[in-house]
Amino acid sequence: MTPPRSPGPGPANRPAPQRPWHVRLGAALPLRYVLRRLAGTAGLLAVLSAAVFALLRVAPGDPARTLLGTRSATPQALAAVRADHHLDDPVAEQYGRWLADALHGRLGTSIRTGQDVTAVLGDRLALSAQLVLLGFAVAVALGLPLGVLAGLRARRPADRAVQSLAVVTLSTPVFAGGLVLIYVFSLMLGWLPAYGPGSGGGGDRLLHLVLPAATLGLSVTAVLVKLTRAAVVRELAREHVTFALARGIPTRRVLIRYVLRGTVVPVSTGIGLVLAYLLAGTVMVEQVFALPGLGQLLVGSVTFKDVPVVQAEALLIAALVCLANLTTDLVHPLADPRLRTAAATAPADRDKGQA
Amino acid sequence: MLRMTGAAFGTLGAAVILSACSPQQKDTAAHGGTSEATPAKGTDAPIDSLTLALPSSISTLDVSREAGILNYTVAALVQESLLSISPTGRLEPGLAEKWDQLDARTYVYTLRRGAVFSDGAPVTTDDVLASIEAARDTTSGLAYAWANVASVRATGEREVTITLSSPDAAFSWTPTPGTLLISSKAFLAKHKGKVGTSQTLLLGSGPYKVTSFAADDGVQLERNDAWWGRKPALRSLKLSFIPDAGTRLVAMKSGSIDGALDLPADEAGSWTSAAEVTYTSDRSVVSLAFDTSRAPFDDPHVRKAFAYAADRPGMVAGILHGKADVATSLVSPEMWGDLLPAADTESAYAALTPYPFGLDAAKAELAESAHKDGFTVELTYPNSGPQLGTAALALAGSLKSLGITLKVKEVTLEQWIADLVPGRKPLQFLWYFPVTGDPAELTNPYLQSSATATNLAHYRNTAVDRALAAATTATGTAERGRFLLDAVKAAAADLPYLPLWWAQTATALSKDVVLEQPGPFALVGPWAARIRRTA
Repeated sequence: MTPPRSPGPGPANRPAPQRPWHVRLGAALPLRYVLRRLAGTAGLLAVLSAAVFALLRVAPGDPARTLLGTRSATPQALAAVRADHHLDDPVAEQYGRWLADALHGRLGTSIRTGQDVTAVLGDRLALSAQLVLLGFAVAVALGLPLGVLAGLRARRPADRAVQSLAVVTLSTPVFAGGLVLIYVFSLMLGWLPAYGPGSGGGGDRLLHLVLPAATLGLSVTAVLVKLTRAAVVRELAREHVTFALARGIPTRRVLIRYVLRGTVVPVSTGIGLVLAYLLAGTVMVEQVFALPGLGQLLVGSVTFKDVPVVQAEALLIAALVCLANLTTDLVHPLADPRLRTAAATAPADRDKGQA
Repeated sequence: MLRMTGAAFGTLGAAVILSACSPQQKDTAAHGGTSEATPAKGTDAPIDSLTLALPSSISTLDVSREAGILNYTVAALVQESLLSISPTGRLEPGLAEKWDQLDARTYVYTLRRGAVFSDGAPVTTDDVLASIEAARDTTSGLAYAWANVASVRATGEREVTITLSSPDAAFSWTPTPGTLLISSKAFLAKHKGKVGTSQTLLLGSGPYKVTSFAADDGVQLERNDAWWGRKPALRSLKLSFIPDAGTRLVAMKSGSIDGALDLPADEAGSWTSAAEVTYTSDRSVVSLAFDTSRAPFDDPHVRKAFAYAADRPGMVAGILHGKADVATSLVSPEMWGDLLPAADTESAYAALTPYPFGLDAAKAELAESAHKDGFTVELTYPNSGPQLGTAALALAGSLKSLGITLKVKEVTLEQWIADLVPGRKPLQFLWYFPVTGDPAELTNPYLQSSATATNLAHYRNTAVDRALAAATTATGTAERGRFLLDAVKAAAADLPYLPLWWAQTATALSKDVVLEQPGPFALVGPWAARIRRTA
């Protein structure tokens, strides 16, 4: 039960006093690092917002006509739209006004319906968020254990079976996979509803989201399986793992303390990616299961050139993906001390990292 | 531009066009496997609720914003117009119990007594005026239909008088659900610019009221017991938007839905085991439009070569699974129902040059033209009409042996509509869903030389122009019908348009219920009020 010790002499050889949590957090995540990541994310979002704003300007034709949609473009109507959207102001001023409005949650009016864009997005955000989170839960619940299993049994039948299954789920198009699930669980077994979001929230909604979430989750499970398997195989081959096993440390302990800990960073990086995949996957899943979420809204809005809605949704999705990346960036140094920036890391932490 | 907007809006519903199920189909168009020869009758037994699938979502309930056929299918249950169109396409009373035409430019409508909106307020002339004002507003997609109106006035407690700027016999079709749906003045004022959203919904006097609406999800409707018409058997109707064909079928088989409207031809066959599937003509036409003002289509031989090269019976059988009819004119035969006896139009249509499919005849025509070595031309089709794309590819295959390269390209529906302007392309698809039962809806915008904003073919023929002008001022319906038919016949000889097919669509309903009095126009009226339990 002796903890592994670092080979050379150093402060870590003395029993380190337990420091308060905020000091430890500060050491792992120095303020300068956090600020730099936040500034980076803000900068990226600023660039993205400019690109999203430019959508309306670079779209072919007169922006006023685009904003009029299918309504007849009489001179009066065009003038009214120009005045409403300040289209005759300098572009920089328009961008500033638009960004300020967006930050205050004023995202404009849908061309197609005349509805407030914030209200349109609000209605659908909840459903899509539930779908993505449930899909994510399915992917993690299946992907991580199967990936670990495949990694531990690398190049053996269990590994081959898991990997083949992963290839099948990865290469099954969502609309086909969804239909198979609907066919089996709604038509043949009659356990679950075939389509729609269900009435109200709670249990009925959950019941209606089981099949869509399974379809969505399965489509990305393979990515997690592959990532986890590769990380496990790599960790198993490392010298400190071999050494630990040679010293007679119980296998289970080596697996949990060394191998799985070593997989946290590559897998969590992958999870950020998987979230982005899931957001994109909602487009197809919502179509198959007739769910009124953000994905269907995006398709409809792009088709009908409903620029304010497309802008708002693009901005929302960009912000979500940026936030997911920011979270992984901030979690990494907590999980793996080697990723803490050298200047900000105290010698004690560096030693601990090598332990 | 005005009528074109109508075309564009009509075609917005292209992918989602609905048709009534038609067990009592009287025209020969119906050859659906499950159509019956005798009218289906239902009992008066109440039906508590039904769920029907629609193949695509609508984004608003307000047809002045989005005038696809599906929008009408929903809105026409909730709102009424001054006049209604019967399932077979005749003008009938609506909120106006009678109407008169005082002279060539003046129409008088007398409102029904006792009609009320679903919120309990009576329908008054003020409401009619406000609704017409909304339809004529610059923000309304229906304004084109009202452009020729000089004034709309209340001339009595229940009387509305509409005066036109110039005589137009086709105006009698304007105050119908296609271009006017009546709501209350108070409702329109309160929700100006936001009518038809999930928050504001719709207010009307029709047989149903909307209780909830969510785009991409569905519409919930409840019976409006204050409606003046015969009490509907069906109390509660949910229309679910289910875009995926497979999901829709499984939902039907598992009993989640009781039917579906507008099944694509290739899908309808697999529904017969789960539901009663019926087919009906939707009066829509798919046609090629040649720009006759410039090369190569200014040469009639080139147009004829295209006509011989198009295997229209093959398209109907192979692409549309027989659920369509080879078209010989832009105006489908059912459109004449109100004007001329069927025998007259049948014999006139039979006398039109048929252009049977034959590559030898096509080659011979091309050899006589100034372009005998062939040429290259592009043809775009909207993504909502894959059958048009397949037909275009079939045509491209035939034309290849003539040395003509037809480049087929898919574009978005929006893009296709934007390009549907004369002079934009030498060769175009014209895909049109009429919203009235009047042939002039097609002849005036597409055959008249003065219709420069819509006449895709740049077609100019003084005999046709004269006949159309005569029809506009004709007094009797039969007389007007004959002028219009003359114009159609004269134009067909010049082949400015090559009509390919008149389409049908399929409707599936559970075997427990039946839609009475179906017809090509059933779904642009209070159709759900005619759903009965099967006898």
